[in-house]
This record gives sequence, C-alpha cells and structure tokens, in this order.
Amino acid sequence: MATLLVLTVFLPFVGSLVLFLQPKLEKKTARMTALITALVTLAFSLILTAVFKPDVTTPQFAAGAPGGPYGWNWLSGAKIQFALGLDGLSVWLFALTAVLQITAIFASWESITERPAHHYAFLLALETGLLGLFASLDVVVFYIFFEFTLIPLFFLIGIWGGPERRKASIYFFLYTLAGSLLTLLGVIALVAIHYQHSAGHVLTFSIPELTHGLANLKWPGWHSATSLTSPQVFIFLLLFAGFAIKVPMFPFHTWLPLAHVESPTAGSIILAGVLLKVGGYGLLRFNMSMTPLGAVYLFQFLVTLAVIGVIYGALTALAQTDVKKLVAYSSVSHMGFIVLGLFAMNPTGIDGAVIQMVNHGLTTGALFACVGVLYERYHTREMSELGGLWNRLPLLAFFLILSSLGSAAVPGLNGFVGEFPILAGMFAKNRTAAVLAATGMVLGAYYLLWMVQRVLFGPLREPHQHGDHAHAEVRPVGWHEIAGLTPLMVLIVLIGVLPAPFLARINPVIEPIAARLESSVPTTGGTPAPEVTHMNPAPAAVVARQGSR
Amino acid sequence: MSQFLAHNAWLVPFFPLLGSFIVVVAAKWLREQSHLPIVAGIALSFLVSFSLWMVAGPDVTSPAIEWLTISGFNVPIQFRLDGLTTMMLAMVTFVATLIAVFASGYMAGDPGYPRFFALIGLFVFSMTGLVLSNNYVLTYLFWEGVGVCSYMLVGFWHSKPSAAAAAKKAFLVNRIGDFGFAIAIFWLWSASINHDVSYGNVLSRENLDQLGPAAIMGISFLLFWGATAKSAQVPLYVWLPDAMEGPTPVSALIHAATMVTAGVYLIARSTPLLVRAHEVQALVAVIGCLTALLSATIALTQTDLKRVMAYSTVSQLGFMFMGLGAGVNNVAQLAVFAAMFHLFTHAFFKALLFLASGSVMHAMGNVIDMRRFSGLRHRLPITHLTFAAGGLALAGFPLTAGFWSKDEILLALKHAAHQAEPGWGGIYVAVYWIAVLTAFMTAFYTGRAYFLTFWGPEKLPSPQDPEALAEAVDEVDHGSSHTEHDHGHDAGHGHDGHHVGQESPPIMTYPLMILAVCALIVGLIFGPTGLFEHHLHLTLGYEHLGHLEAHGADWLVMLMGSLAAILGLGLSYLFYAHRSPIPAQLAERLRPLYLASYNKFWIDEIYEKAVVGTTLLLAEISAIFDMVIDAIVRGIAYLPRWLGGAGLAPFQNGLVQFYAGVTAMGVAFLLIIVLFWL
Repeated sequence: MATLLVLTVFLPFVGSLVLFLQPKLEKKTARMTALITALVTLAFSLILTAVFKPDVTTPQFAAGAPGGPYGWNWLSGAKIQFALGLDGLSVWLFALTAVLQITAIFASWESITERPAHHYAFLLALETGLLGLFASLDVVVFYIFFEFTLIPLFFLIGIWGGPERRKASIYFFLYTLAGSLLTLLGVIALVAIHYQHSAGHVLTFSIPELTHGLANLKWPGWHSATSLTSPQVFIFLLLFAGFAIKVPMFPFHTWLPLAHVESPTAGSIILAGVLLKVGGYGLLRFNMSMTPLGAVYLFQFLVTLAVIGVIYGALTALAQTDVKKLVAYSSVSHMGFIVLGLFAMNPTGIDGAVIQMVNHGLTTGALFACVGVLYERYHTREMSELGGLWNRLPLLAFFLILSSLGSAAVPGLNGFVGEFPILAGMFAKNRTAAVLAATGMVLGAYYLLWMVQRVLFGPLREPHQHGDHAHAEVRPVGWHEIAGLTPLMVLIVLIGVLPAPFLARINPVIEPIAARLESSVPTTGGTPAPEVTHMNPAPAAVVARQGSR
Repeated sequence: MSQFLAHNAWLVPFFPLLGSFIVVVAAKWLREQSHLPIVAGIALSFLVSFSLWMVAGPDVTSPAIEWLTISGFNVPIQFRLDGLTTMMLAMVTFVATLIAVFASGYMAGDPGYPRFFALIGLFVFSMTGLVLSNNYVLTYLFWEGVGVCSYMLVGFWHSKPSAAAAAKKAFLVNRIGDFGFAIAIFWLWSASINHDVSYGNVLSRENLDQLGPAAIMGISFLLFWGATAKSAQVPLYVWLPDAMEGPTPVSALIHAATMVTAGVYLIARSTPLLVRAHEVQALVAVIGCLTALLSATIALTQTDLKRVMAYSTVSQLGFMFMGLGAGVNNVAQLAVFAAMFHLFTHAFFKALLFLASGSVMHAMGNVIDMRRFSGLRHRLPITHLTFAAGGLALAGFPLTAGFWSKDEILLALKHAAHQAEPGWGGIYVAVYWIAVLTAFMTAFYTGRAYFLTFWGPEKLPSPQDPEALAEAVDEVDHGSSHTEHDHGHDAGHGHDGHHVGQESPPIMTYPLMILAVCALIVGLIFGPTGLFEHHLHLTLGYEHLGHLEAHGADWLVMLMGSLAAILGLGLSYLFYAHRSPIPAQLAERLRPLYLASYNKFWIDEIYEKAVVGTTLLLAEISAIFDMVIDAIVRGIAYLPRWLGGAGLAPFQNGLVQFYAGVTAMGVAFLLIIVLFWL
C-alpha cells in the first residue's frame, strides 16, 4: 500500500510532464489525458480510503514499520526522510483533492481553449502538490510541497485568468510567500529545539516524531507560556503567519477575493476547495499539535479573529453584487467557523472543524463550478444582469440550490455535520464566542438565499446580447458540467445523511490532540457540567508542566 | 405487538419519502399522475400512525441507530412513541392525506406538478420525523427540514418575484428562530448529564434537578425563541402572512395545520422543563396574548381572503401559546392539554378553511380579493357549506371543535390567575380577558369573511374591477412582465378547461366534506369524553406535572366563550350579510385605527427599515472597510520602498535571482536570531 500511496501522489505529476512535453496538443486530447490521469488518481485514492483502518492513530500506508521510521532516507546525512502516509487528519482531505480535481477538469472542458495542454499540465501539477502536502510525514517534504503548490496556481491565474490576472497572481504569490517564509522559520526552530533539548539530541524532521518529542521535551522553559516571547507562543506565531494567510483569517484575507475573481473556474475550485484547507490543516498539524501552549496563551486573540472573520466575511458577502466575489467572501466566513472549531480545543469542536474542511471544499467547489456554468454562458457575474434562470437552466437551479443549502448548514446536508459540533464545542469553551459566531449561521443563509433569489427566481433576465434574439444560444447544462457537479452533490447529501463513517476515521486521531490541549487549558465561563469527561476544571492560569508526562 | 409496531415506526416517515423518490425518478412517465405515489405514501403512513396511536406509552421508543457520532457529541436516530407524538402523527398524516387529494385537483395542469408532489412528500417525511424524534438535535434536523420544504413550496411559482421574496423571508425569519433553538441545544448539551440530549435524559427529574436556575431559565427562553419563529409569534410572525404566496394546499398543510404548530409542539414537549421557569411561562402567555390580539386586529380589515385566514392562524397559534403559558404550578397538566387540544382541532378546521378558500380561488380564476366577488353560495354550494362549518369551528360556536378547545384554554388561564406565583396572577387575569376579547374578534372576522364571500348580491370577478386595474399597474411598476416562461400564479393552473364560477370537481370537494365533518365533531368526540386527555397522559414527563384535584366543566367560562362567539358572528351578520353601511362609517370615524389595521400596523415596513436596513448598511460598511484593509496591506508591502528611497533604489534591479538571494539571506539572518536567542 505504501507504493500505491506514492503512486497516487505522483501520477498526476507524470500526466503533467507528458502534457508539458506535448505543448501543441489539441484541446480534446489534452483534456482527455488530464481526465484519465485524474480518474485513475481518484480511483487509487478511493482504494486507499477504503482500506484505511479507522481505529489506527499512527500514519498508515507509510513505508517502514508502524511507529516509524516512516519513509525512505532521502538526505540521510540530515536525517530528512522522504516519508508519506495518511492518518485521520489527512485522509479525507486527500480524497477531497482527488474528487475536486475531476470537477476542476470538467469545469475547464469547454472554457479553456488557449494553450489547453499547459492548462491541464498546471492543474495536474497542482494536484500532486496538494496530495503530497497532505500525505507528508516529514516537515521538509511538507514544506516543499507547500511552496510548490504556489507555482502552478500562480500560472493558472496569471495565464488563464481575468483582465487583472497579472496583478492578482502576483499579489497572491507574494502575500502567501511572505507568510510561508515565517512558517518555515517556525518549523526550523521546532526542529532545532527538539535537537537541543530532547534526550540524546535527536535530530529529526519527521512530523510524528517531532509531535511526540516536543510534547515530552526535557526543558522546563518549553512547557510554560507566560508572555509573547515564551518559546511555544513565539513559534506558534511564526507558524501561524503562513497558515493564517492561507486559511485566510481576518485580516489577512484580502488576497482571496481578488485571486478568485481573476482566477479561471478550475483554479477557483481548487483554491477554495483544497488550498484554503492547507491553512486549517497546518494549524492543526503544527500549531495545535506541536505548540499547544501557544494556542492556549493566545486563545482570546485567536478566537476574536475567528469570530470577526465569521461575521465580517458574511456581512461583506452580503454586500457583493458579483456572484463569484460573494462566494469568495463566504469562504472567509466559513473558514472562520473552521478555525473557531479548532480553537474550541475540545474533541467536539476539532472533529467538527476537520469534517467541515471537507464539507466546505465540497460546497464551495460546487458553488464555484455553478458560477463557472453561468459565466461561460453570459460572460457576466453581476447579479443585477441575471435573473429567473431557473426557467432557462433548471439543472443549474438544482445544483445551485442544493449546494447553497449545504453551505448554509441545513441539517441533512453536509454543512450541518461540521458547523453544529463546531458551535457546540465552542459553546462549551466560551459561550460569548459561540453565540456571536452563530449569527453567522443566520447571515450565511441570508446571502446565499438572496443570491439564489437574484439569480434563479423571478422573471427571466439575461444580459443584452442574449436578450431578444437568441433564446436558442444559451446552451443547456452540458454532460461534462453534470459529470463534474454530480459527485459533489452526492457527497453533500451522503455526508449529511450518513456522517458516521466519515467521522469514525477522524475521531481517533483528534482525541490525543484535544487531550493535550485540554490538559493545559484553563476553563473560561460556564458552569462545568457533571460527569464531564473532557472539560477539565483546571486552575485558572496556564499550568507550567515540568518534564515529561 | 406493541414492540413490533414501535420497531417499525420508521415506516411513517419512510412511505412519503419513498413516494417522493418515486416521483423524482419517474417524473417523466408519471407527469399528471405524480400525485399517486404521494397520496398512497401519506395514506399508508396514516395507517401506521393510527396503529401507533394504540401502542403509545410514555417510554415507548424505537431502537437507536447510530447517526452523528463525534467525540462528546452523540446523536442517534431514535423515535419516541408517546401520547404527544402519536397524536401529532395521526393528525398530520390524516390532514396531509386529504390535502394531497385536494391538491391533485387544485394543481392539475401546472407545469411543476411532479415537483409539487415530490416536495409535499418530502415535507410529510420531515414533519413526521420532527414529531417522532427522540432527541433535540434530531428534532432540530427535521425542524430545518420542514423549513426547507416550506421555502421550496412558498417559492413554488419561482418566476413570481413576490413568491421568491416571501420564500426567502420565511426561511430567514425561521433562521433567526433556529439561532435561539440551536443555542438552547448547545446549552442543553453542555449542561445535561452525560452530554445526552435525548428527551428521556434531558426531561428526567434527575437532570432537571441538577440544572441550575440560570440554565433552566435560559434554555426555556431560548427554546421559546425558537418556537416564536416557527409558530409565527410576535416578534417573528411576519413571514407567515407572506407565505400565502405559495399554492393554497401548501398554505393549508404547512402554514395552517402542521409545520407552524411545530413550535407549539416543541414547547409542549419541553413542558417538564418550562414549568420550572415560571417567568418564561408568563412570557409565553403574554407573547401569545399579544400575538393573538394583534393579528386578530389586522384580520378585521384585510380584503384578501387567504390573508384573513393567515392572520387568523397566527392568532390561533397565539391562543395555543396562551394555553402553554398558563401552565403554572397545579395548572401545568391542564394547560398543556388545552393547548395541544386546540392545536389538534385547529388543524382540522383551519385546513378546511384554507382548502375552501382555495376552492373559491379556483372557481374565481385565481382571484382571492373579497371586494371582487360576492354572493357565491348558490354557485359554490359545497364550498359554501364546508366553509361555513369551518367558520363556525374557528369562531368557537358552541359544540363545534373550536369551541371545546378554546374553552379549555380559557379555563386554564382562569385557573392560572389563581394559582400563579404571588404577584404574577394579575398577568393571567389580563391575558384571560384579552383572550375573551380576541375570541369575540375572531368570530367577527370569520363571519365577515364568510358573509362577504358567500352572501350579498352575486358577483364574479371581472378584469374591469378597480382592484384588478390597480393590481395590473402594480405589476408594471415592479417590472414583472409575463414572458412565455413565466408560469406564475395566474397561469398556474386552470388549463383543465375549468370555467370561472363553477363548483370545484369532486376530487376537491370530497376532502372538504370530510374535513367539514371533522371540524364539527372532533371537539365533541375527543374533548368532553376525555379521550384526548387520556391519550396525552401517556406523554414523557407529563405524569409528574402539577394537576388540579378535579376540574369539571366551568359553566361561567363556557358561557363567556359562547357569548363571544355568538355576539361576534351576530355582529358580522348585521354588518355584512346585507351590506350594511355601518362598517364604512365606522372605518371613516375610526380612520387612524382602521388604517393601522389595514396596513398591518406597518410592522413589515418597520422591520424592513430597522432590521434589514441596518444589516445591509453594516454589510456596505464591511465592504468599504475591506478596501481599507487591502490598502493597508499594500501600504505595508510598499513601505520598504518609501523608507529606502533613493538609497536602496539600486537594489531594486528587477533581477528575480537577486531578490531570491536577498530573501534567503534574510531568512538565514532571522534563523540565526531565533536559534541563538532561544
């Protein structure tokens, strides 16, 4: 299985190379090559998901013995291993990447006519970057994939984007690069600290080993957080810089609307569907797992940012007249929910956040695909120029309404399964934050349904060039658009109706992370319930723990 | 046997869902027969519900199936089959079957025929699921589920801008209520024993005893908050009158008989919790009273028959909450029985009144403005008689269904006035008298609607009516030109060669007749015989509720109720049966009051300005502020250039390698600081 994992990660890259070497390929051949590659990758990733053992907390499908070392020695002098594996945190995001890739390819099916081979090549390269990132078990490998994803997306936006594509791609590139350099610094600091203070001066870049080692470091200074310059707090902030921009958290979100509006549909789908999740994933994998005291110390600050993000993102979405911008700002709001769940620091909230990352990928991916369907036909995204399209494109109405309801966290669809536990978890932790964030639930329904009303309901209104003469010109929703959206619809309903199998793979790995966070968490607000197992009525100050547990 | 039935309770929601599924899959072939799977599905689920009525008991539950399992948050799918649930099930499925049959005639010829019935099936699935659920989260799930069905059905004629706006409004106002409900659940979850939100656990005595007074108050209040939206109470009632934009059978089923009673159901379900918070109880009674009075006042002057019925529904729901709110100390049991009994009888007569209005509308070529038709009793004999039966029940005419249940509520309020905590009795005295006044107004506006529609000189709508012309001008103003795709309200049905002014076909009149019989006799059968009370006794936690030693008939209360009904109906007869000039003179003399009522106290407009306006203003401010953030970020990015000025200019040589090299050096520099400093 370890071989299959490596194969899954690099198969798209092979496809990408083939397309790069054949730049003159026709549209039809190029897209078919990309589709077949992506379908095989999807099949492989589904096999991996199917044989994934739910109860195992250590990484699976890794080369080497369970418990490590996990990979092949790569730079053996520096102890850097090429190690790949999946655990409960990454397995669904891994599968999500493979699913959304199909949607992205189908969304480009007709719309990309200029240099199609390169377009699909970049798209496939991006997939390898994301799959590799989620599967990495070594910080260096992680970081390489992390930075690598920027390059194909930079070109996707810069070449196939809208009128302001160059500005958008440079802005996006520099902003995220600036953040990720600080993250790199934080990662190196973690490795260095682990080397200096672990018993026997172990130099390791392995993520599981670092996580375990740092928790048991024999350095009292590491286990206390009293000021911004305490080591865990400081490194937390370094790591946070890159991930918060990726999420994006308020106020680091301004690159997102611009990037989305200028990006081609496929780029938006992957950007919002998967790339933003890298931020949430990184926060959980590094910040919460390796520097938990930083999270505890900065709790107020972080939760404030997340709550502002939820409400502010929703309000800004409400003010948009461009459908794509509206969906982009909705991502700011929904990603705020996810971060909120992480900082609830109890298993309920974190579990909800992890499944919500997958949910948001599905619903937002679907929404961007729907916007793509609109834009291809009318060459506008201004809602004032559109209306009553239910009559014209009934299938689009179905897709758009279902994904909007899923996004608005209507129970029975996927969004609810994540959002409800996130808010419940936050409520147990801090009532004010949960109540404030819950207003995002109302506002979320507001901007989504208003968008649906303006686009689909009412008498038919189409932009002028399509107005009088050309009823026949508007293509009905095509088979490739149906093929791209249907899997997402199925998953939106499936996760909503049968969440248990999805959650069963997440729960086991969350418990230890949450346990570590909670053991150092002072409770704030609210009377602790009787027989509460995971709310520790600990002292009101951060506990400085000595030595290993 | 009872075990067997309890284990198969899932069949109740399953059959309508299966029906919907068949319609969706086979819509192409079914077309005009799309109602068949739905009618069959709902009828089957009525049969199951009826047999479940027999096995009901306070602790009968179906086995739990794993659903949402997150660490610390466990929600199984489990059904509870106690008295309250089985009563609701039987009522919902019975009324829904009749309405579905009626709709198959009413909706004939509509291009969205299959979609309509698929949604109706989905709605019955959600509604039965709502009352079957054995925990708060599952109830919440179906609670939003019925909301979504309502959204899709109110906006059924999606080309019509007013329908689209009404659908969105309904969903959003309900979301505001769901906000309260959701927080109530979070609170229950975090404060209950074992984090178990099943009814059996939450409403158990041990759990209620260990919840602090703040939690009891807070949770009760938040649950009631949730109920005010779903059951259209002040201040969140505004969506319901607008929801009449949906097809009339939808108004009958969802916005009169079933979904809007979900809030009443939730509070009744949580009664063991609410009786411990007497302040919230008083609030429930006062809000119910305020709602009943306000909407009855509005109903007095409306000219749209369906709107009269809509405001009357809001008002009657207010009566139910008055009943629930009366549940203080020893009155608790009586109060909840009274409220639920009114819910039960109301479902029959209000569904009937809506369907009869629909039948009028059908016959009038989709005109529902009472100024445009009159004297229809000869042309629509069946509709006329059935409407009269429903009207009598709504007015609370002695011995009809509404009489018995309204009487119980008045009785509960009267007892509450004596039994309330010291100092709180006065509230209930006031509520009692306002309730009597509202009952009188109810009888009056019901009579007014009836006499205006069926009495007086015979008149059919004509396009030359001033009201019709005004409407046409309105439509032009809103720019809603009818294109060939616009199958809105007016073109909605009537392709079946049906002529204006004729009685509806039998498929529509038979359900009317059955409901009319029910409206007259269900009160008598279930009320004085104690059947209803006995059945509701079998509800979780109700046996421990405070109850009076003995409560026989209170003749004085009965007399008050009868007087209110008879006086109200009599007055409306004097005013409207022979078109007396008095109402016009009264309207002239009390012009401000009349205008306030006619314009619904401008509450919609106030909300539009205050709530929607503020939200959108905040949204605009956020959008502008976003540009500021963007500018700041860019400013920081340019900061080095400004600071460096000429001195650093040579370094900006445009060589990417150079930049990369400098960046690497910078990182290395920072790294050294980090390593040494730590």
